[in-house]
Amino acid sequence: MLTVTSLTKSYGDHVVVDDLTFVVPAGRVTGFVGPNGAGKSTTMRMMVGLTRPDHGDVRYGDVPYHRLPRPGKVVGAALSAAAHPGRTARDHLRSLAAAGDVPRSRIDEVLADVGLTGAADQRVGGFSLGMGQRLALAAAVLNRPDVLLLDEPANGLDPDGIRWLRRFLRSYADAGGAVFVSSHLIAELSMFADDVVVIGGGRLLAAAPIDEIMQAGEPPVLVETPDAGDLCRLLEGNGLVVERTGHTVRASGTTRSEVAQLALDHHLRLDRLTDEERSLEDILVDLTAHAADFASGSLR
Amino acid sequence: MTVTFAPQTSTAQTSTPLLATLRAETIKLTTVRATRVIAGLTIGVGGFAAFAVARFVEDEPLYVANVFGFSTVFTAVFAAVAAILVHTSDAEHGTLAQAFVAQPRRARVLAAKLVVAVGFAALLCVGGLAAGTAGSLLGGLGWENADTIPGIIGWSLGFSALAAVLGLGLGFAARQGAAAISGLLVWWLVVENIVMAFAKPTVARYLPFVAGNGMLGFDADDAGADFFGPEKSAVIFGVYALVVLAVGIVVARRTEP
Repeated sequence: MLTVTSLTKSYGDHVVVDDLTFVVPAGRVTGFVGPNGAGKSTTMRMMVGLTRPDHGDVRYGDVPYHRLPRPGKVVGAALSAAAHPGRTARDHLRSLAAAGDVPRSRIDEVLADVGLTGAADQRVGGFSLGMGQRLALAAAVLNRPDVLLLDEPANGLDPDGIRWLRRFLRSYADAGGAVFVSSHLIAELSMFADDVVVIGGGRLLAAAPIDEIMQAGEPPVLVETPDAGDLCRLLEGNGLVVERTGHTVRASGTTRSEVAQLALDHHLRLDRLTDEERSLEDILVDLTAHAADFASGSLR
Repeated sequence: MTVTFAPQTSTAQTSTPLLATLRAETIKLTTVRATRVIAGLTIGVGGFAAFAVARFVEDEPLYVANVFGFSTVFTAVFAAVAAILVHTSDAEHGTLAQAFVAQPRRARVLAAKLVVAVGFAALLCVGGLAAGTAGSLLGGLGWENADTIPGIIGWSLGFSALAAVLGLGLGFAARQGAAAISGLLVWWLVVENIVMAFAKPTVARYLPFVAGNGMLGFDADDAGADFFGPEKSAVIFGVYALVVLAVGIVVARRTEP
């Protein structure tokens, strides 16, 4: 298990990571999400000692990263698809295997795992982005670590590659590993992650199982009615936030039964009354909207 | 798809961390083309220089013993360049971060790089001297004064190794291969020559690479510098190399990879 406690990092006056605390349990895939500039990459770099925190620490079991006797055995990190372009995939892994004191026979195993056996002796400079990601993943699992830390591993993967990655990480967790994966593909993440850690502006916004997050809060109510104008006035009069599109009214902060009772009391006809279906992406985008450094414009 | 992952099935560790890091750095050095190019250039240039001197210099008596060591003047440049690349190719391609993740005690990674850079410099030196010997023989020189050869080999190895130390320090500090190599070459081949043209010979001999060349004990009549002997020259060049290395280590340990 990996425990992050009060992790804090500033560059000058800019607080990049602010008092972050969460746990990554074994046997589960934990998604790490947040808008651009939220501090995800800085957090992951601090988790493997590449960036020194101003405050707080990261422990694997009870041991800080820099005190692990064999860090590669405990943590496999793929924070970027970095490799010397003039080196072959096999040689890249050979150097990492040597650093981790891993037998050379393991190199062929991981190349096969990530589907790069045929490209093992090609120079990395000729790799596609997706092949580079697979190589980074091979490097991360080379030492059979207990914890996998992956920063945006789906970048550059085609749909088939993303499906492969999903199965790969799921089976890794099912075999007992702890997988911590940052991704901006929240819909994709929701298909295989068990838990999610959400940060915005460097601060923790949520850390919980995905099921729990999906069930949290009341979803907006969607109403189809020929009396949309009257219903909107009525709902707004009750202090609710209402959006109207033609004959459809979307009301937040209420329930279906409250809307139905109001409509009945005022003799308004309702053709359809449902809860709005919300994806994990919708929920997390709402959650992080106020913390986004680089928010999109009007397309939401 | 099979995931060959099995928690806690540890493979027994057989190497000390430093030895493992040293092996990793050796593999990195030997699996890039630049290393082979540098080795080829060292041998080619060293052999050609000795051959050219043997064939075309006629104003003094020449033997293998006083020509084969010319290769070291070039070998030292190549050794410094190779040492720069030992670190900067790692830093520029993101693999330095991987090295520091695998070995969080950064001093071990930097020490391994130092050993690899100096070891490669020694190999380059031996290759350059062998090529220099071959070039001298092809140029028709004989084996007179052969008793001086061991000394020249020793000082050549020292100069090449210290050049690698200096190059590695530059690489640590600069992190950019192009910047470090061009800075090194401009200083070595341009700035020092300009200074030697204007400064007194007794001052010019304190320049780093003038002192480095002084380690080889060449006749300095035309060099524009009044060389110290090999021992004093080695101390001067060694101090420069160690200071640059020390600065580089401080920068490399503090900078985020």
